[in-house]
Amino acid sequence: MKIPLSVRQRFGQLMPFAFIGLRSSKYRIRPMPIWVLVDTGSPWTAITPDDAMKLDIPTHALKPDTTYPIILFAGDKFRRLLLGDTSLNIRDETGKTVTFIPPPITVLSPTKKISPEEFRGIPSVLGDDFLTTEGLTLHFDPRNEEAFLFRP
Amino acid sequence: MDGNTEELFEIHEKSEKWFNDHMVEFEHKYGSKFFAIKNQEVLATDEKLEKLIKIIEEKGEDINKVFIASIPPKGLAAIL
Repeated sequence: MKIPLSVRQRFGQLMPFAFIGLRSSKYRIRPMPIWVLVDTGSPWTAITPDDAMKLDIPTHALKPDTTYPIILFAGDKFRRLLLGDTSLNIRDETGKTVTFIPPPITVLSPTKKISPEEFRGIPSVLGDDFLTTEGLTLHFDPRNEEAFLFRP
Repeated sequence: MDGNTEELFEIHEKSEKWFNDHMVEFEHKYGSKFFAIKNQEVLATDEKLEKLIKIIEEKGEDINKVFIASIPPKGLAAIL
């Protein structure tokens, strides 16, 4: 299986992105796809406060993680809330939507008031946990603007 | 997979590509803001995401079909 990624320039550098869709069997969240950075530097798939707001995720109802309750992301401190019982949709190279059952998704909740512009333009991330669980490898060739996830 | 999911992916992919192609122009015109994009058109912009979502809903748009993008403040980058 091959999942094409889009190579886009952010902060003057090229990075691999994709749209993902999230569904929850527990909560009613918006089905709109969100634009995520494939980030092997992140241990988990993490949703920014802005994307949580877009998806209307009920952050007040989510349980905090007990192992890593506080995490640093883009220079700020966040509480790590967990959104379990989700499915994650992504399009493969044929354009068909493939559904995965990912580990609990991290939802970032600020520990202090963040100014709206401080986090503007910072994407949610598709992290290592997803790649590992699904046995996906990341091919990223920025010079040729080519990127995809692959599972033999 | 239901057709609605496929449709939403197609709509957002087209909108993202269009936004990406015009990002420099939008940065000059609007600066750092949140953008609501639909059918290769900027529906609305705002400094605050919460307010932009309200504007989209007040316009009677199906928010799931609107691509919401943002441009970071000039000179501010992040290492994730």
